[in-house]
Amino acid sequence: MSDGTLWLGCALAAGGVAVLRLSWGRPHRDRGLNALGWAGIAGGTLLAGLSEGAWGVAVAVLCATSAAALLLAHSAVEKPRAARRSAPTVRIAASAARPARPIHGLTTFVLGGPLALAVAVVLALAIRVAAMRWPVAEADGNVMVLALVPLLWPLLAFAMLMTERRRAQFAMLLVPLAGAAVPLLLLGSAA
Amino acid sequence: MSALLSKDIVRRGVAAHSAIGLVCCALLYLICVSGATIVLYEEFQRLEQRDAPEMDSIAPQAVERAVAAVVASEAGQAPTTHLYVHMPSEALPRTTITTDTQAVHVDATGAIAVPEENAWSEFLLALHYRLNLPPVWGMTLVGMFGAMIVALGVSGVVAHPRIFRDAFRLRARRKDEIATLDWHNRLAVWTLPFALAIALTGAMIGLFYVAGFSLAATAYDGDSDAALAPVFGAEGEADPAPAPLPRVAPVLAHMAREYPAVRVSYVILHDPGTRGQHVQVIGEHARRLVFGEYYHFAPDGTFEGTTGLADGEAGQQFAASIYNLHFGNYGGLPVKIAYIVFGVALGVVVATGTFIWLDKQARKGRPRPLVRAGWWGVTLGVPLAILATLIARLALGNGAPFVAIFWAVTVATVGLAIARRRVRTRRRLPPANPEYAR
Repeated sequence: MSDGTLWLGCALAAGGVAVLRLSWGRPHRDRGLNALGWAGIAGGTLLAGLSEGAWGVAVAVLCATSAAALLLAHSAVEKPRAARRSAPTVRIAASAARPARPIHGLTTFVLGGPLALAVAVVLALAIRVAAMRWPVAEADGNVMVLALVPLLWPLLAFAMLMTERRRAQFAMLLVPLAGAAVPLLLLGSAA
Repeated sequence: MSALLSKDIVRRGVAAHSAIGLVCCALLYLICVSGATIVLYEEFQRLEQRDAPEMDSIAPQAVERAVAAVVASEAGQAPTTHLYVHMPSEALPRTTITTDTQAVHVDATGAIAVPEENAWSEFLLALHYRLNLPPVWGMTLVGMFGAMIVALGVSGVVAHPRIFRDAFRLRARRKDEIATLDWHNRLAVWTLPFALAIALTGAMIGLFYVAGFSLAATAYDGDSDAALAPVFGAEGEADPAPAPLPRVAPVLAHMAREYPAVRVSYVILHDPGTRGQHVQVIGEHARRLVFGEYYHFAPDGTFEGTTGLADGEAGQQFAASIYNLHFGNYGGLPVKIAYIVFGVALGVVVATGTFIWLDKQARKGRPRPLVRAGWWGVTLGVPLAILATLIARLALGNGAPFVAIFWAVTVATVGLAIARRRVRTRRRLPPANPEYAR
């Protein structure tokens, strides 16, 4: 693959963003243009990846994001349409607001913070143990732990914040913990 | 998108997004601003010490002479365990030798020129990496905030049902709450791939003390070096018996002859001057995200092999790509500029996110003028404080107390903003004897 393929990929990715701008700016949804825009971004990134691997993908994504930044900069300096009257500021009655519950908030913080992090670590270690028996290389298994913890923890914390029931939050911690215990107890943590 | 997510899910998504954002906002903003600044780490070092000798390249014999001169300058002290030779690069065309106790620039002949003076750049790096805290605590805290950016990204998408329809709608000239909301949503949406990439890589680096130490504790008897050895290679067996310094010139000659496309970025001497010594070269591969490949050499310059960061296991290549992907040093100045712009955008997203929450609180009848003033203080104070440290560097030199200046200016700006707001609120207070009571 050549430089040309890389730059074609970058141009396609950036062009895809421009096509989406055109499509989403229309009063009615245009499925053809939408598909063309997404195809441009996906195809361009793929092409850059085929040409230069992960480096090419990173460069193509930066090109697409830069194109979006330029289009946004244009939108930012555009004069706002005066046709619609701005919605009046909606005042929500203070009485409708929930009273502050500091203990409740602290419990949620502890569950979604340190406890969810601990569960994410145990889960990542269990996935490594299972993967090593698959088998994957030791380097892959170890990097898996380093990469999974920062991914699993925020997803778990987010999932816990999406539910308001305390029991469901505890279940979100205990179920993965029990699942992780199976490979760790059966195969040992050093596997 | 709106069809996929019910109103209730969106409501809970907004609540989760707000909760995470509020807990993290101030330090997250600081991490974003310092991160956008530190992209120019190498350029800042040149700015800090303009009189250091610069060169496009340096001869292998000159490097060998420089190593000998630096080791000789430390005669009588405890021998250094590592000696790093930074080879001239496009962004930092200087040859710099760092040991356990000192760092010096050398000239093109290999003579020691001047001590390295880059305390401001190092301060900025430490601010971003560990918030000027001890490494274990600071890096872990920063890593946690990186993970929270991932949670904010996911919750932000869920909380934003018109994510595609409004993707280019930026009503910035309205200068009201809608404009703040648009800035937040539009910048967040378009910088999402960038934000996820730097957040995940940053969290991987920062959470090493949690993830890596847990791995070491459970699988390697607590030896974290052993846990990393399959990825980055292991240190050789130490043998403190004295030995002549290793030959660096044949090493560099071998690299130039056998790997002409590889740019040597560092030469690392492990336990120099002992029988356990060995030489490692970090070679940069063009158009790769990996920071380089480790090339190993015996003390006499004989090539012994590579670690496999560039062509080994997928995990090795992945781990070696994290640093460049996070710091944006894989495509020269254009990529660095893009990282600065998107980093600033991420800072704007964090800043506007808190203002949006404050606006919402005001609409609920709970205006928080002092918190708003304090947040303005943080928003302006952090970049002002960084600027103050730069001015201190230029005015006072390398020994300026950057950490104290930074935090003092930040805290003072926040305090000033709150105090100013208090005075204004007092002036607007209704008279003690209101009209209806007269």
